[in-house]
Amino acid sequence: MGEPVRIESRRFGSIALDEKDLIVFAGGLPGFPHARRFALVAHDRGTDFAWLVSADQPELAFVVTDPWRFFAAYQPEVPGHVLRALGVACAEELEWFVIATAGPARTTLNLAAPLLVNATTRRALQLILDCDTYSTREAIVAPASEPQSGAARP
Amino acid sequence: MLVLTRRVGESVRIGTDVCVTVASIGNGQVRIAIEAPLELAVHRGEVYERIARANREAAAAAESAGRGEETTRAADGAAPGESEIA
Repeated sequence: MGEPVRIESRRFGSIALDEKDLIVFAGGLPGFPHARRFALVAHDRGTDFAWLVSADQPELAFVVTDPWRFFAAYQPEVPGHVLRALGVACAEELEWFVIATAGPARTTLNLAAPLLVNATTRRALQLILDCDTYSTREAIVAPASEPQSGAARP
Repeated sequence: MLVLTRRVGESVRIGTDVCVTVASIGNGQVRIAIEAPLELAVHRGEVYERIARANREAAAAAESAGRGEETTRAADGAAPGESEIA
């Protein structure tokens, strides 16, 4: 059993969860090297989006989603050393998220740097794809503020 | 900042397990070979910075979205600062 963790955030109120349920980016995230532990919090409105709230900097949060909800053909290659660093044998064993940026006119997804999570150990990293195939700001059709039909990927 | 001069084939060791070797020089370019543990991510500076900038922009956009929600909740009757996520 893990230790209970409480994240006190002005925006999200008090989030209580078990330490073993925290997603841990041991190397931090580019731009936020000290934010390592995150809680995945369901979005208020029951959409395809969730919040990734930092346990280390409670005012830091990202909107994340399942890339395949919007881009069915998304298929980036995960280098073998990344799989080994996360402790899995293949990319299908991982949980995938991408970070969304909601602007006034459109919402974009960062397909160039997906978040990969080992579902068992909760160990995670942001994979930086060193190729031009995927954009850091790929626009999606539905704005983040509108509820979507359909269930999220399990 | 530490600045060192190296010739082709010479290397720099960083800590106990990172080794950077000058592989070749020419046409205004330097090819460097990096040996590092797998858990250390190695990226071109501009590629890493592009992702860092995207993350900062996403966090800033999420922050303003969160503020919008607070405003909505306050308008629903809850006093600001007393709203809690369900």
